[in-house]
Amino acid sequence: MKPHLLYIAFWYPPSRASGVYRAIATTKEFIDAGWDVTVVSTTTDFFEDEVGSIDASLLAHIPETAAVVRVPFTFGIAPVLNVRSMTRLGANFPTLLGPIRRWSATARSVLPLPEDRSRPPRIMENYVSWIEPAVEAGMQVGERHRIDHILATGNPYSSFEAGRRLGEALGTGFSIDYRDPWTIDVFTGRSDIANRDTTRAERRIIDEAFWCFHVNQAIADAYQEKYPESAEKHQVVYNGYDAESIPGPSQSAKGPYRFGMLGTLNDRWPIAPLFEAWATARAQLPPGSELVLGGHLGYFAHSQELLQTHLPPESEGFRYLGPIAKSDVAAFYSSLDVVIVPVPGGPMVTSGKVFEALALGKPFICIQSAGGGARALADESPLAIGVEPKGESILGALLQAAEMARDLDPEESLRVRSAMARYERHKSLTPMVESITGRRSAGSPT
Amino acid sequence: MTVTYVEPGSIDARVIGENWVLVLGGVTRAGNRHSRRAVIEALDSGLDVVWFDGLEGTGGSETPDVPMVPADDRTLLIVGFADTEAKSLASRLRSPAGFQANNAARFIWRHVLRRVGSVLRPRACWAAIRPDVSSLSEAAPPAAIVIGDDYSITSAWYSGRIWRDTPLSTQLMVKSE
Repeated sequence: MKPHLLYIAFWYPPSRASGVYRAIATTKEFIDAGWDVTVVSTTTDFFEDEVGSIDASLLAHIPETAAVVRVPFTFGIAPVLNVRSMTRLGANFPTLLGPIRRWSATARSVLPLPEDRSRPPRIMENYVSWIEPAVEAGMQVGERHRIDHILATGNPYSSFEAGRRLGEALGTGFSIDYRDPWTIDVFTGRSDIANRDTTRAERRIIDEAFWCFHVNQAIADAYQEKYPESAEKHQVVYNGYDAESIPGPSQSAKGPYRFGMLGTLNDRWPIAPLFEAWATARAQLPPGSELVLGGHLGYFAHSQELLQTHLPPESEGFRYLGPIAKSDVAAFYSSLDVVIVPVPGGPMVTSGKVFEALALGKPFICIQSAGGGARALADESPLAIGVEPKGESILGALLQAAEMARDLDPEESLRVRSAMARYERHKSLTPMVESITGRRSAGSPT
Repeated sequence: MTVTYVEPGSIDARVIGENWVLVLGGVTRAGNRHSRRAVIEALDSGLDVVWFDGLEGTGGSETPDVPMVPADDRTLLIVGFADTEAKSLASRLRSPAGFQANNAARFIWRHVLRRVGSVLRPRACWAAIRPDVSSLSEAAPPAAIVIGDDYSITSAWYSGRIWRDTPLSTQLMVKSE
């Protein structure tokens, strides 16, 4: 009989959140390894109504044999309230209840009150109301089809707690997959950003988990340092790239040159110095050279308007192409001579797009501060130029990359593609599947 | 199906049948879509619906994104109270108009007045629909009260005091006899 994985992935198609690609690939990988997979996610209504956008084309990427259980969630407080039992004051000013709960949780963690360790820790996250229904859904799945392992991916980290509770209730081992650190600031590395209760909750989850997977070594190291007693559980499972997103081999370019970047723009991307540099570089590049951006503007519909103001007008050799469907990504990359990957933050930030850029075998510019996680990966390719997020540095990189595109040696491009094939998603995720499969065979939870 | 747009304050309880559902709000886009789904579900279940639609003005026009499903001999009354609510203090506080003179005014609006406006909004929504809900108390009790979003909680609480035995939830839950 096939082993059965319960995979708790809040962000799952038709969501277009950046985490869904790893979630789809994880599902596929376990199925290919001979597992039955049931995914616990949330509803399309939530993605449409409250996040504000979906990518329905991603539904086609869910493996046919995977079962998906949709558990409703809302940011609103109405579904979790017993309206009839509210006080008159609460009923008249209900929107204050959410902030009051958050303030009281913060106060408890800030004030020097004695810590009551007998009380279960309360997680401070906007998604906690999803924990109970997700656990209930998981229990129902377990009643119908025995679950052999639970894997929860975060964010939201409430998924981890749902996985832990389910593991406890079903007597099944569980593992967690951090796509970002939870109680450590991904940009600064500070490890005290969460309140005491949340840190206690994370510690308990890690203590009870089989494995903790991380997307890069810097995050794994930070967690090993924070929770040294669980050091052996932390493993790196890179995001990698999907082979279908990579077009055929690249050729040298004659110009005008097409520079491009792909991804969901957010206000942390260092694009201001890029556009500043682009304005100068255009004059030194063959006429008709252009810079294009493909992708969504922000994760939520309401972010779009603000982010649009960060973009230069199209008359300045720039074009915003709008969202690029997953099936069109290879064609988009094929149309570029130089790929640009702007990445914020430091060592803990790698960005999935870096793996695609590495695998293309084209010149690419990685804009991130020295010591950044993406820069470290970019250093592995002779076709990559790592630059500081400063206009002057980027200007030099744009001109240098154009020269590299002109002089691109197809043989070298092929060598780079071949070397970077180690980051193909299947290879990246194999350690996760092997660890869970191996541990399951080895026996009971620690 | 009869779809009737009713001016706030002019609802006639006599046009409602014995089996009907009260759908409250949706002054946010997400809440409005949620409410719309509840309306369709109720109509499909053979129930009449009174929908207090917070995005609809008094003129009335069907929002095209979720089509209404035709159902014979059902009545859908839509009371668009957006214009009435727009006159409230809560609504005026949420508008940046009049607070753009300088940075200090913008700061006060953004960090204080806008938030006060949001806190008062559920109460303002209830004030906008209260006369009609009171009129409906002359009809048979609704089979369910559906809460569109957080801004409808106040209206739901007061409605719950009028119809104490009616299921009150964010989902359509009809009490079985």
